[in-house]
Amino acid sequence: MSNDHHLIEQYLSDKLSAEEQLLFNQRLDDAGFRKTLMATGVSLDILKDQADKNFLQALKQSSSTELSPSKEKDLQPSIESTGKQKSMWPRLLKIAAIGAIVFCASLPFILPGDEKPNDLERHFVPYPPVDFARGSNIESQENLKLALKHYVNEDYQEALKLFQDIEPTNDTLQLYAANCQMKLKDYKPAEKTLFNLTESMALNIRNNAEWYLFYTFLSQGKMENAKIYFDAITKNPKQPFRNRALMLKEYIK
Amino acid sequence: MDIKTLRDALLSNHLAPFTELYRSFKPYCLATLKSKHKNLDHDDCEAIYDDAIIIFRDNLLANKVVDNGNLKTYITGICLNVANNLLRKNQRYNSKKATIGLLFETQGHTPIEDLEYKETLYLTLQKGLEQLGDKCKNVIVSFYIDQLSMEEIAKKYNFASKDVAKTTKSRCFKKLQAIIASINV
Repeated sequence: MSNDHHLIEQYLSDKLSAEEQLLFNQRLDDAGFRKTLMATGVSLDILKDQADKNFLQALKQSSSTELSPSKEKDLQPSIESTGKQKSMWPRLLKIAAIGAIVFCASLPFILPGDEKPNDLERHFVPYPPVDFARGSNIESQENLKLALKHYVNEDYQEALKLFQDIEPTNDTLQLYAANCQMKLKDYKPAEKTLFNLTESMALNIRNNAEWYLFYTFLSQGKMENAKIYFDAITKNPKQPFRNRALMLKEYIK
Repeated sequence: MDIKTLRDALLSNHLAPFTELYRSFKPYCLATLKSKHKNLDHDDCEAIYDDAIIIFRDNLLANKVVDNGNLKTYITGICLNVANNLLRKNQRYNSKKATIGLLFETQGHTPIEDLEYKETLYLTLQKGLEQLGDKCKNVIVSFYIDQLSMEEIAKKYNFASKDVAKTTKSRCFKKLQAIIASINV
């Protein structure tokens, strides 16, 4: 390597010795040296641009295709260590029980009442109180049961207080809390809670957070933000709320 | 998602954690950009977000990201900075050309003003660099731009040892210099 090339290489590697620095500064007086140095710098920029484009392309491609195997696992039913799948019946009974609870929670929107419910509201299904308390390591089991009882009875004010007190860092409880806030039409804190939940380690929580954020923005008429989440949900083939979001397309103006 | 996991994944060429970050933070960042800069359209916001992700990746590789537990806020901050033109004034972030231009000025040399020369230089170099294979391109970018160590480069590109990576880097740099010399800038 010629001396000029060596100096340029050392400069770009931040490894010029004191002697080499002096020599480098002297060579800067030479226009030819400066041109070569600048051309090397521009070459590095070009290579970086190409590398950045390839990186972004890879990110976008993989974020719009199938999930990685580790993420697929989140969406699969659990498999026992023997490798056999669990019997479906207990699962079906559980789903039926949840469906019944959700149906009861939705009754105000079905039965005639004093006010005609907002047409959009019939699409809002609160996050179901699944069999969460049992087996969890939450200390205050009694308060949790009480909170869920208030939640099912639509006493959202009381439920919210308890969910926020029991374990503020628990993502599932925070999702219940956000649902309470949405039911109480307290959208600002609901937005804040849901934004935080979009960073949850649990895929299920993140998916729900996106869906409820979409719904919250739609309810408030914040169409630009609603559209962002609509796109995020409907462009993700693995988002379980994809079809539900598509049903609300007509509300986005 | 913590800093170390993300950095290790990048160095091992595993994109999955970064892809998840890219996908999950995008709606929030776009929403924040739109609320702060009403004149930006959707395409502008997407381009800003992409730039911010590259800046975050570069900072991550250079060990410049402090783990305060809130990556979303950090990346949103970068988005807002890019949008505020702190980094986006037709001037690439961390551009070698800009750094060298500044060096010339501080040493009292007139910067090259001839626009036609600059454009020709860029296009000619772009064509010339096609002679560099992907391996050389990757090693050059990793060492001179991302400033990875030889151990990290050896691991990332499956070289037998850091010495082999170093030899490859030297060989590739010589090839780059030969291309520049042949172009006769």
